[in-house]
Amino acid sequence: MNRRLVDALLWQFGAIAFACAIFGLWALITHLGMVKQIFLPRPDDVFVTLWHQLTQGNLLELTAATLKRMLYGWVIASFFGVLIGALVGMSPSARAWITPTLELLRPLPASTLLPNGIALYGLDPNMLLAIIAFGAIWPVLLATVQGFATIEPRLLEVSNILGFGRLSFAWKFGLPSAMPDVLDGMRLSLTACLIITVIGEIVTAQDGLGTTIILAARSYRSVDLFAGVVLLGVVGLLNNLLLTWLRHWLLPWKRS
Amino acid sequence: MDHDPFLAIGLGLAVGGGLGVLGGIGLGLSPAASRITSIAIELFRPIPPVAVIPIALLIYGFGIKMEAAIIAFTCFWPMLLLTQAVVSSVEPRLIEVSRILELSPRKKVMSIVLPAAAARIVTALRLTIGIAFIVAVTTEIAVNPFGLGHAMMISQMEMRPSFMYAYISWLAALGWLINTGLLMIQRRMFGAMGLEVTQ
Repeated sequence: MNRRLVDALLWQFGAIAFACAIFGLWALITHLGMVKQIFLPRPDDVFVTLWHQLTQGNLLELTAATLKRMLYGWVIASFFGVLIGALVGMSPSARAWITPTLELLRPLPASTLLPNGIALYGLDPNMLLAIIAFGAIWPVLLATVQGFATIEPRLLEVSNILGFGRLSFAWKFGLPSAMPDVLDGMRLSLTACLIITVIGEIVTAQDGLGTTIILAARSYRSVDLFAGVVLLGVVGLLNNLLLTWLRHWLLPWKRS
Repeated sequence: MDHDPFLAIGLGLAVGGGLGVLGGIGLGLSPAASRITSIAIELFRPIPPVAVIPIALLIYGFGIKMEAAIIAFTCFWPMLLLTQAVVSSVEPRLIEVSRILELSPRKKVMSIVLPAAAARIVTALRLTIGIAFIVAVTTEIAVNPFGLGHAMMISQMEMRPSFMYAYISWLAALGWLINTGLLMIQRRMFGAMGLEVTQ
């Protein structure tokens, strides 16, 4: 047992060393001047700038604005996705009527709605939020439909015998049994939210990380650009952790 | 030609998807490699493709190369991870057979691993093509003065809503066609094999 522990630690160490080696390679290439700094800045410059902008500049506020938009969009998308998904998933006739429309709308890239939204409402923050929510609703919605459609039929019989109405069936049996599917959908949806948020900020020029990095790229401030990209990577990483934690917390019976 | 995002999609998919499949086969066959790279992959994979847009813009400027680079980055990760999952779940006895026959690594991949994993790699490819289409259009709407997305953005700026809605409908139809078409091809080629979603 001790040996296995040592083994696992060694592998972990190796994996960390490999990740560090990639950053080392980046440092080596840039410090030797093999790539122009304007295309690939030095990692130490990037991290120093990142720290500097976070503590003294307004990067923290901009990140908070982006995060807020992303999370609001995600919450709205998840709420309506689960609601509509449950309604559609519970009734076979609703499934037959509505699923083809959903299948047609789903592959439409959410970003195509941006010009549409701008034409109708102008460069409005709430318009952007609505588009984020619309674009991110599909994974949750379809996963919920799937989850509710595949509920064990005997559970329905049990709830009929116990005299439950449809609402309490959905709440007490449907949702817990669809939860693994719903959470998988919510994970994809959060990724979509981050992407649409950044794109939306770029297109509608709202304050946020998206605008920051695109302006940095357009004015060839590559250090600022890479600092922003690193920050976006960190946000993506945190999103993953959030979902893993949520899964752990909401699905105690699936803990491995 | 000017309104066609498919060249960029094809180029990006070939480069990113190809590298992803190669890497995925390597990681799937060698547990050591997959353990060593695990943390690096966890670090780099969550970088959203939109974060790469400004970098590609900086390096390539406007045009098809920049779009293809973004698509390649986007396609690389799902292909890498899905192929890795598929290859590492190939029936272990088949791998044992290849060891007993003393096949060379190349022969082993070509005649044992790939045929066993092909159906599910095609599923991964189908999902990835859908993502590539979305990223291509998104890039065009956000920055690249090129292709369908940009044409749509311009018609909005020119206050020609009929054009704008025509482009939206066309893009929706294209997305649906790509999805359904690939699904049909896959059914024709592999039957029900590998149709379960490998997310």
